[in-house]
Amino acid sequence: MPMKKTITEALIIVLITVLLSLAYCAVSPLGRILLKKGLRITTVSVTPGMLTKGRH
Amino acid sequence: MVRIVLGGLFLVSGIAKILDPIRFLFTLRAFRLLPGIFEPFLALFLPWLEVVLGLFILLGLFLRTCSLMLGCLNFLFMMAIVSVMLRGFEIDCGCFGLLADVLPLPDMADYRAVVRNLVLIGMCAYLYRSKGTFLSLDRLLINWRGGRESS
Repeated sequence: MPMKKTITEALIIVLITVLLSLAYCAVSPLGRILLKKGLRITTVSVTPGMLTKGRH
Repeated sequence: MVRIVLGGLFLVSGIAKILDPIRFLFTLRAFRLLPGIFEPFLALFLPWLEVVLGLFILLGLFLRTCSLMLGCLNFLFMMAIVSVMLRGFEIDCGCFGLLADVLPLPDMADYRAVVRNLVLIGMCAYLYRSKGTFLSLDRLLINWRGGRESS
């Protein structure tokens, strides 16, 4: 069935993407900063410089 | 040819976004489309999705599904840009990430970005409809399955 095949392939692609994103978070400090500090900041008035390590 | 252009473009722009995820987060934030809690996850997930889809299209793996997903992704990007234009914001579209600094690429969320997305959607539609599996892993898979069933 072509529809079933498409859904299966799409799920495989999404799964690979999620695994790669998680691996990136585990390996790269930038990924961790993105999640940890990105979640904390809720306003748009923050400058990108504040997200670099060691500033706060 | 279409495979190389489309796959290469998304692979390169995805890598450019992965190299500077904080910048991409701020780009997403500037669109003001999503609740703040989702933005970091999307900033992490979307570049990798572009890389995976671009790589798979280059390799010719799951070609029809990848072109369908990439077409839908481009349609969403285009809708986001149109909404930004309608609300009167003048912001970067963030399409090329770091590359926009290095190369003179048009990176504003304006009508040119909409036209670019329309062209990309057209290329995705062409790939989805084409049966060409020249130098693709899909063909290898079909041959492998055929070989297993006949033996």
